[in-house]
Amino acid sequence: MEEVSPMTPINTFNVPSNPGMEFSQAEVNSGVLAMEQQFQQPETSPLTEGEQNTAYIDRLHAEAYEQSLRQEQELTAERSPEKCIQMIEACAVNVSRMRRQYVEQGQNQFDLAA
Amino acid sequence: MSSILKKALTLITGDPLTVAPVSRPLKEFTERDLIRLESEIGRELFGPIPAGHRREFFCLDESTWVWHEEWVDADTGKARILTTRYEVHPNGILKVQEGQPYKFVEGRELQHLATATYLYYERVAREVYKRDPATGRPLVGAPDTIAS
Repeated sequence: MEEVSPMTPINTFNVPSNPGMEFSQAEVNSGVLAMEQQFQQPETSPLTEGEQNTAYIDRLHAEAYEQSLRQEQELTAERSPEKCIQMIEACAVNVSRMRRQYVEQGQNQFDLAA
Repeated sequence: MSSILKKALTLITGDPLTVAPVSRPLKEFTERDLIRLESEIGRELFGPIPAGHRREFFCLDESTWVWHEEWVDADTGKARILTTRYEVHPNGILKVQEGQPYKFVEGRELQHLATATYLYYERVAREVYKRDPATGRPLVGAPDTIAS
């Protein structure tokens, strides 16, 4: 099993292709249209404030769960030396990039976590 | 008020006639400020800091991690300082300490360092920059601190 790294979201699903199922362009287009309509529906029937709060909390919980799962995997993983070196470098590159981006874009101090 | 007292006050507080009220713009963070914020997280990653110790752990740049520790030696009463640089090289992580031979980090130390840098990245991305470490996108419900 491939090890999760900070660069790799763990919720990446590999959907296997199915060569036995082929669709015409019209069928594909109608399917896409149906999906678009389905995803547009919430805009036409807005959630109540309570429902929005629930959805928000659910999303926060899901995010926190994902974070803790990823951390647990990372903390317990026995990595090869090469993986360790890659991880140490990847984290330095990512942190430096975020920091530089922040400085270049001139955010003021009150935007940061206190 | 006597002129002598006025002069003494001016020496302490400055001349009220020459000091115009300053509208101080909000200070923007420099890289140094940000490193200091990050290090507040970094110093916690290795467990409790012993009493009397000062510890910093931070990412200096794209290829360097720094561990800095200051403490007072209980036996001699002398201040001690130890700065360790971990430099990323193509063939490994080089540990650099003053007065010590350079060596590549191996074994458990390498594992621990990898875990620490991973946790540092996770926490700094979330707590300082309000970004999802996996995607780099702003966190849900957090103010967008870095315009995309």
